[in-house]
Amino acid sequence: MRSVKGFVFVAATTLSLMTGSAAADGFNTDVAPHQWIPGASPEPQKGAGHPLTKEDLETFLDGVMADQLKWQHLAGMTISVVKDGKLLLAKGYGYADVEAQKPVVAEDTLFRPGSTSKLFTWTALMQQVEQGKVDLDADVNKYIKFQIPEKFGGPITVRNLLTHTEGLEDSGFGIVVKKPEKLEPLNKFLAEHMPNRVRPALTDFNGGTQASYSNWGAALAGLIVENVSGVPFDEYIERNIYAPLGMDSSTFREPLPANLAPRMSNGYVFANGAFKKKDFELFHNIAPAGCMSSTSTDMAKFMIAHLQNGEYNGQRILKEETAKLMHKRSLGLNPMISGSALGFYETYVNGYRMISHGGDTGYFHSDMQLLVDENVGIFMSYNTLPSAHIPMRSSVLHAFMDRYFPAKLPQVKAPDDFKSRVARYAGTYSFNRHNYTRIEKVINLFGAVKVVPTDKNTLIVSFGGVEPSTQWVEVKPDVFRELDGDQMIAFAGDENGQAQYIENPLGVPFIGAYRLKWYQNPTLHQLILGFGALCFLIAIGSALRHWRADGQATDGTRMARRTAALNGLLNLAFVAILVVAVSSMEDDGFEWTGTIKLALTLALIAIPFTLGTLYFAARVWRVEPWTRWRRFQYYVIAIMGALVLWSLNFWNLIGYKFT
Amino acid sequence: MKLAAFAIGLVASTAASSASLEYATIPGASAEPITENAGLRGAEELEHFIDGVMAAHLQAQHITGATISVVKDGKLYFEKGYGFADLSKRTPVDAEKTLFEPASISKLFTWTAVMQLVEQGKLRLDGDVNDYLTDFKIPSTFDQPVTIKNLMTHTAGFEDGGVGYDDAPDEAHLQPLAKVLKEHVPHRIWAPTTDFSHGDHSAYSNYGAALAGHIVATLSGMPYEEYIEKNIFAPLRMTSSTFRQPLPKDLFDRLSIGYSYENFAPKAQKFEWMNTGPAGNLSSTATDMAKFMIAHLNNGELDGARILQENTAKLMHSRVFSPDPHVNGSGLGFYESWINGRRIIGHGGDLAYFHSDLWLLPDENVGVFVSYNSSASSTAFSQRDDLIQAFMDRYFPARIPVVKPPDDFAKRAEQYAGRYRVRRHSYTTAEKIAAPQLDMIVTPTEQNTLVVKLALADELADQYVEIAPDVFRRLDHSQTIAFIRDEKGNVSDLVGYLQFHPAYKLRWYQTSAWHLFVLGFATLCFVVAIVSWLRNRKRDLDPASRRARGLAALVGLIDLAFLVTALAGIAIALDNLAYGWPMTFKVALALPLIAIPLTLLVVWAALRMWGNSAWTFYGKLQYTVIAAMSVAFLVTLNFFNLIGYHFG
Repeated sequence: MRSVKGFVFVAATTLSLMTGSAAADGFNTDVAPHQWIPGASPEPQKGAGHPLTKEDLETFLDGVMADQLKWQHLAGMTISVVKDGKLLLAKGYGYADVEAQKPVVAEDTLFRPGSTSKLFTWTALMQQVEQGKVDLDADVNKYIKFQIPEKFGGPITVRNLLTHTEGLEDSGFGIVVKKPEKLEPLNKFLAEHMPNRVRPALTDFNGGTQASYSNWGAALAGLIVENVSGVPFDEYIERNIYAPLGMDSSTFREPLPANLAPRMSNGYVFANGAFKKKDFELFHNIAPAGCMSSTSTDMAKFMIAHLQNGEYNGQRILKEETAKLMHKRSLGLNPMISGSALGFYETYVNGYRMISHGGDTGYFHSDMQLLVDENVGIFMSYNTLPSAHIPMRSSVLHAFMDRYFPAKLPQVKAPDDFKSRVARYAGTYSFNRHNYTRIEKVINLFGAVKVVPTDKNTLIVSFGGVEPSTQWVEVKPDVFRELDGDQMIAFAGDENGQAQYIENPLGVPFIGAYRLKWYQNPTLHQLILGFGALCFLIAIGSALRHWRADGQATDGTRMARRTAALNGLLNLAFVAILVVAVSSMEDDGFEWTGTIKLALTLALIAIPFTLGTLYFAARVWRVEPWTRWRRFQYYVIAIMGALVLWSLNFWNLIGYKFT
Repeated sequence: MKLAAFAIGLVASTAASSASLEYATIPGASAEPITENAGLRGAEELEHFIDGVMAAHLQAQHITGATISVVKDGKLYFEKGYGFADLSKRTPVDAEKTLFEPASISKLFTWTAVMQLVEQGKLRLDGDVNDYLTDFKIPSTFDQPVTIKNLMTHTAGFEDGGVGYDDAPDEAHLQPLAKVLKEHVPHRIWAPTTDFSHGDHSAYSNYGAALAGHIVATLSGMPYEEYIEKNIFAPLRMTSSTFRQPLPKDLFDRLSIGYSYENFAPKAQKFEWMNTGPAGNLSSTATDMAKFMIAHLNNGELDGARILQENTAKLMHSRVFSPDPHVNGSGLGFYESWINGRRIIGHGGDLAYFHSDLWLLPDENVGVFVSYNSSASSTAFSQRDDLIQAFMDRYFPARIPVVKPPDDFAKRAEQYAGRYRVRRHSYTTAEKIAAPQLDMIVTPTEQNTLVVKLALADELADQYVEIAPDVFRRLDHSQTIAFIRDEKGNVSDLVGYLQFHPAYKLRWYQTSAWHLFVLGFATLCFVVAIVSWLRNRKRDLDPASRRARGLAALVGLIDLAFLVTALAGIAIALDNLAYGWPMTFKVALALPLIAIPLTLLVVWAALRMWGNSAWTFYGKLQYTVIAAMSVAFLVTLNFFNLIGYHFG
């Protein structure tokens, strides 16, 4: 009793201190509750669902999985469902090892939860907050040995890490390695692979516009835990979460400890009518962001602990208040859409609130959903890269919810006058989670988010094929609901009457999209690079055809043609080598190879030739023997060369922008 | 008494020829059924399981609605509707009330009616169909007549067809069955099968089934729809079923809408009208289909009403056609799907927006009917396979032995590699252009297996491992396929991939790759010919050269114009193509006819060109290639019956 009271006091003090300091520093951490829209939001039909019993659930899931594993070609999966503090069902489906026909066994088979591991890091971080060793609104630089540079006039706080609002660009290089020897200590890796700050860290958690998922930020949180506790991260989790919860089949260590390694499921891809086994993935470089291995029964213990606000089997990993704080809505970019708690993000299905975290490695795809108000939790993990991007996890979640927690979904009618507002929303956007300052930015050349109106007064938001699309109906200014579903997105910002941001385009608050300026549109760059390549070929062909004649020429035509041809050759060689290098990147363990450097060097060498071509273009004006057509052709080649150079520079391909 | 005697006589007479037709398993490679604990576990358990399968189906594959019924031991065991029959009105699918369109499953009613007449002695299975046709005859292309049994096993040797007469765009364009069958008799491509113990010459035929229905109508003296109502629907009390189009009002009001998935949303489609009713016009509920399943599982009887004598039903269900002992064969109308070492007979059915299947496990006295009302994805045809597989794996499981691919397979692999084409396509009409749509590609892998996939659906690839000479089993599945060889011992056909229908191995000049190469390269040549004429029209001084270039350019222009107008005509009218060839296409077909004499002149000019000293060697070569490709172009058009007006 006394200890509880004491805890309340301490916690209350800490909390008030937090709000106090927040107010003083101009933070707004007071996040409005999620709001429903009458007539558009699902109306939960409590009691109308099937009773959530082990028998009903098991048979139902058997049916779901029998279909899903077959037609989506998934080798195996594991699932656990907890209810009222107990494991209701844990079951494995399919194979952990296809060739050996070794089935997945829930208690036995380890999967890779990927980013769902972050919840352990966030829990550990909150343990430190609870102990007063970390302040949610303090500058993270306070807790680390290297320093994140000052920028935008404000610090990155611990709360920013927990809500992915630190304003860091994304970066994936160096994370995955092929051999364990290449793994580096957390502090060293994070210091050497620091992403750049590309927007101010959020201070207004109730109305800001952008959150952008950061693995580096989550890994940094793990480093903070390591630094303030003085215990290496892997060991810290073992002592302070696994041990009290009795999670004896879980680890962050890589390679796996000898006792767990034989129980690890293979990862698979399905190609050409058969499953292909993949090697155990090594990404301990950012361990706290996602390198856990665990069974679904172990994950069930963690779910129960959170659903019971920190306690499992008499063991407490978080104080009740801390757990509640962690589960509370702490980031709300728009009150009508799902926001995030601390580390957990919100998912609303059928009007029920869940706090959640998904996870994806190269081959494993996992999800954890906690229905906090119903005391029910689901964890699932698949061991195969799906052949098409089909939302298998959300498909299971919706099937589960529709059966046990159903709702009536009001039909919404697309407003007849929508056309008058379409221009505000339509256009080309980009996910904000990408790289901005380095060579990695070029990934964005291959995809954009497109918002296109239909003739039915709805919007289609498409993601270049990487995620399924759907139609959206405006239910309030800037707020849209799925035509026949309950997902919500919102638009925000305004410039010349056009919205600048899409919130929750993928259903999670941690990834947004921003409107592209015309010169950022990947289609423009694809056109420039494509037409540029054609011009380069013509330049080369033209020089070859006139090689002998040019050899005797006394005027500037020889130099003009050959400069343009050499420029074309260098550029084409650059692209060819880069494509080869990037396509073999997975085998090289995502490292910067000499081949990539060679390619980038060619692009640098090409610059004087691009300029030379422009110079000759100005001069050929006066060259007598050239016909008007031939001159025109040369101008086009020269201008396209310059545009290609501009485009390459836009994608950070001029120079060696690795860090 | 007379009937019974006849039925026995019938069985006795066919028993001799079909006694040896058995599915042969291969020890150590074929599925070994697990008999312990097999079987259904209660209606409630089944419902929960199917709820799960359907939840996964409907969610991920954008299926608007589905209906299912399961029967066991003479009773309706389980039935349920899922999703919506009308999305905009939010009308849920009700297994008892909602009518679906089982399409080709209709044929089972036609075959049942045929067998009723066989029982009555009005029809003989080995009787010549022409003996029963009064208003027109099937031409005697071959010595052997087309028999009723040929129709029932799709071994009559008819080519496929249907554009402009199978379907109708609306009620006003419906045509009487007899008229359609009379005006569109398909060509007979092969001699009808007489030895049913092996075979590579079956080709699914809607015409054959419709013809059987027409014979039923002729012999019974009443319209087909009425015959089925009186002799099948009435005794089985199938009160929510009809072959009539338009549907009677009370049934139409309960009919599910069919859906496509466009722009990421379900789109309601209009009713699909059909002229060839006995091949696919049925509208019915899952409950009614359950009655039909029970009647067949009971060998002809339901609640005291008998639609077939026991022996007749048994004969209908037996394996009467066996393309290869190791692969799925066919009964009389019902075809086999062996799963987990158990024999299933049934029939699938597809309209543009409805996908259905009916499976009977005669040995287990269990039947399943399912119908989906949506075509949302390229996998719309495989949903039901996933469903029955899930059902079988749970209630009738088997151990599928792991088979190690033989190490020395590589040296045999190449003979199987290649492209295969299902025999079901048009051979003599312009519809032949659709022939490649179900092409299969067989490719050896480095793991000593074969990959078999549909050319147009990469995601449906499967790997097969050799388990006996020319016999292969799916890597993780009990399905077997076999290769058939010709007299010379060369691999000629693949059987068991698409039911019991064989697919013949294509020679190089029959492949799409070759045809696309010819059309592509010819297009390039035509462009070169036109450019060459434009560039040289003022330079060429001698009239022969001028004429030659002009001719080649003209041919190029005409052929290109044909390609563009024909393709555009088809592309624009794609959604309505079933109702008839578009006018643009018909107009375009005049162009190759004009091109023929001109092409011959180009060939003549090319031959003469070699004696003309004004031309460089390169110029001569170029012109000769253009001439050759102009001919190859026409030869390719002829392959697809696009020279002249060949409509079925």
